[in-house]
Amino acid sequence: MKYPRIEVRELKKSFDETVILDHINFKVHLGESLVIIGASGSGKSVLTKCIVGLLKPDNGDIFLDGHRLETNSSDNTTVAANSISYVFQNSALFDSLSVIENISFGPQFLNKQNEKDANEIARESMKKLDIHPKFWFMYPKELSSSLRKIVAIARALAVKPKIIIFDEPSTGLDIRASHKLDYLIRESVKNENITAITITHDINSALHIADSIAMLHEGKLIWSGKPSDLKKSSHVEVRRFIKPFLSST
Amino acid sequence: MVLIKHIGRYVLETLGTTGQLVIFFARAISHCFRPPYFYRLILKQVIDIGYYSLPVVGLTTLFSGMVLALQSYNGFTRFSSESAVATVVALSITRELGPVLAGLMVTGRVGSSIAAELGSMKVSDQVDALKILGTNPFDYLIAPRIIACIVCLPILVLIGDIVGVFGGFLVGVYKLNFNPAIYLYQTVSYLEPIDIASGLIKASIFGLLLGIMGCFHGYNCSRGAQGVGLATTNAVVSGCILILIFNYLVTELFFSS
Ligand SMILES: Nc1ncnc2c1ncn2[C@@H]1O[C@H](COP(=O)(O)OP(=O)(O)OP(=O)(O)O)[C@@H](O)[C@H]1O
Ligand SMILES: [Mg+2]
Repeated sequence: MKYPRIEVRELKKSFDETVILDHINFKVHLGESLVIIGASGSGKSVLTKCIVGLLKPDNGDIFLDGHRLETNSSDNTTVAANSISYVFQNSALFDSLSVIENISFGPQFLNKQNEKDANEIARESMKKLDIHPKFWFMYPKELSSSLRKIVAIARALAVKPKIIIFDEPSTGLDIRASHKLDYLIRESVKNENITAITITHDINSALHIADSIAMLHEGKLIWSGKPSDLKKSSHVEVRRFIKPFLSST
Repeated sequence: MVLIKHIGRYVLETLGTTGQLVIFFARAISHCFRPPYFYRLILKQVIDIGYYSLPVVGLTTLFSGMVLALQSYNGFTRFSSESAVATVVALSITRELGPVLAGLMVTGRVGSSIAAELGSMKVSDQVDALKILGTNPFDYLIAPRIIACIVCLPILVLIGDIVGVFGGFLVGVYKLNFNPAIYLYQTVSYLEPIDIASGLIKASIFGLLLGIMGCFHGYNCSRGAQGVGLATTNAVVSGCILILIFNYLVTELFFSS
């Protein structure tokens, strides 16, 4: 039997008695692109951080290729799934490293390439994302926030992950850059068989990149299905969430 | 009843933090002795922590040596034993003032900046990003800083000792009209290797303490706007207090018998 790439079962997570996530169940298959939508504070980032092993769920299990993800509670310094890449909502670039050093970090320390090869991979990755060479040796604090975001994406792609999680990748990007990003996510999923989970607030981009969409509301998974079914949903919270987009198009 | 509840919670919290600190300490030390080593980062920290602390430590010990000479001269004339000034300056600087003042000053300068740096990395998810990219933050962030603190502090203190004694010499010769040769002779003749060595061992311990406190508070920094500020303050206050407590304990160990 073939296992799903990612399977989440009965996930529950709370911080100091406030329940953030409850009864979360879903599967993502190889080469599939899942988009998670939901209002601010609905627990999207917490959910994806549980999947990479940065947060330990209180209850429930996460399986990657059928293997249960073990998260050491006292120290979560070793992330179990090193075939997963993660693009943080706030980019999280290393302040003390230049753009190229940020991007070659993963190839060098995660994939154990030597410094020269890692640099070569970083250059390729930067070219792929149209990062102009004049930025290559700058530091994150010198970049605009949208460029930081693109560098963070380049850093995540440079390790050639099997699974990649984007936490609001297009927030703060201009329309052209965000279209290009949607295209890039689509292409990576299709051509390189990457499994992607993308968090977004933008329904149009969700419809474009998703094979399936899941909606979180106050820590519960209230809807999931095909992109084409989203607009037909009769769930009141889903309708409320997508209404602004229906009227604008 | 409410009071008991408050006290109970306070005791539990303190115990919890102490436990956390002990575990953190053990892990930090074990990662200092275990590869991978990031040599470039260790070197960078040595420069940041050691080299850039030189002016602070130098100024502190220089003026302390000068004041010490003045004060002890003032006191010793009352017993007409002015000749002890040089010896007293040398002993107090090497045994006590050098390590303690350097430790406190470096805690203010370095302990706070370690806490602020790690705290802001934590808050902006850079620590999580390290984990995702296959690097243990204890190897990459904490071990280099602690190694640098342990190595740099004795060197700083040794330099501080020399500068402090020199400060005493300046005051002794130019203000109190000691004969330079006699002053130097009196400085050296009563000074034993154990005086200097004990000071340097203290310095290493202080370096370890201030490094650990900076890293601990930075690494466990809470989110939100006050998180980093609070971490910095706690790192400095707890670092200074621990230095003073351990100063007593180590002195007792060396000189009680
Ligand atoms: N480390 C933490 N400690 C305590 N509470 C947390 C922590 N991380 C997140 N939370 C809380 O969990 C809830 C969900 O946060 P989360 O970041 O997952 O929201 P989100 O859906 O990603 O929202 P946004 O779209 O704004 O990014 C929030 O109320 C937040 O305050
Ligand atoms: Mg979020």
